[in-house]
Amino acid sequence: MSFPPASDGMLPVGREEEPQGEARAPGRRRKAAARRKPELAGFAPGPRGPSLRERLGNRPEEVRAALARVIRALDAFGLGVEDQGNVEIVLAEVLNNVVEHALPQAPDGWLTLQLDLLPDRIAARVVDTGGPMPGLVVPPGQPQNLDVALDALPEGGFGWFLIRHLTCELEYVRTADGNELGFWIPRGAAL
Amino acid sequence: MEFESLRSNDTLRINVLTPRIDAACVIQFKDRMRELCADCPPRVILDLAQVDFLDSSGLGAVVTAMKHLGPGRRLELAGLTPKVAKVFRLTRMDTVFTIHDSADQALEPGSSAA
Repeated sequence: MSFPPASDGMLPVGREEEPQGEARAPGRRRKAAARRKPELAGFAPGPRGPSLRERLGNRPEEVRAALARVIRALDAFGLGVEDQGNVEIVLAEVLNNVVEHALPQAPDGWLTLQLDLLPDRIAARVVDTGGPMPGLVVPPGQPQNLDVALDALPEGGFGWFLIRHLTCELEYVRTADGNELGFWIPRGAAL
Repeated sequence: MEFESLRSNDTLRINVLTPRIDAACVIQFKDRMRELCADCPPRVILDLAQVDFLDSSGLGAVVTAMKHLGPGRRLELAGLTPKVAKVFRLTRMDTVFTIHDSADQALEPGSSAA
């Protein structure tokens, strides 16, 4: 796996595990780590590869800001543009769904997102403190019937279709504290 | 949320000058589109060349705008960037709208999708 040359603080921590042509002084590395604010998206070495975490509250503006940080970090990591697009489409739908439907049922609710970058996929886990999915299941996300009159065209219901189309092994668990959703997005796939 | 609109004869061209149509701004988008199309000509071209990203709520808002125009007028789209085009393609909404490569191309004589 190759990483882009060092340029700013957004680069993945995980790259320090990779062979470096030019060793950096340990003191300088510690200083750089201390400067990196914990709420900023950046990668930390995880058990399965570089890992990225976000925690956000219940406003759509927070989803927008978190997506921007995630995509910036994935771009710095070197993820392909097509894969970045798939991640952005899926995460926008998943996170907005939590913010719009689950968190309003829980005052001061929050959600966390964890992304693990594996060689062939991006594994995601979204945990929130909100209300349950209706029926305790993930919506089927059927394609909408578009063969209808103009005034009957659907104005919603596309989100779960997009999520299901672009992800694999979507798993939902209702816990005592909220919800957990896991899935992965293949890398380099023509979806 | 910024828009620019240009009216000529039978066509209203609306340029969306904001990089995202998403859940954070979808209400403003619907409101502005309703205002801009309140008394518009029969053909409306929505230029999305400046829009980098559109989520399912943004997609729904574009459909809302088209339905609002009613049967006597029509909404055409132009300048879809890659992620926006993908959302339209995956949901098959690209079969519902007339989509032009660019607004300039849409305005060329003879390009009106009658």
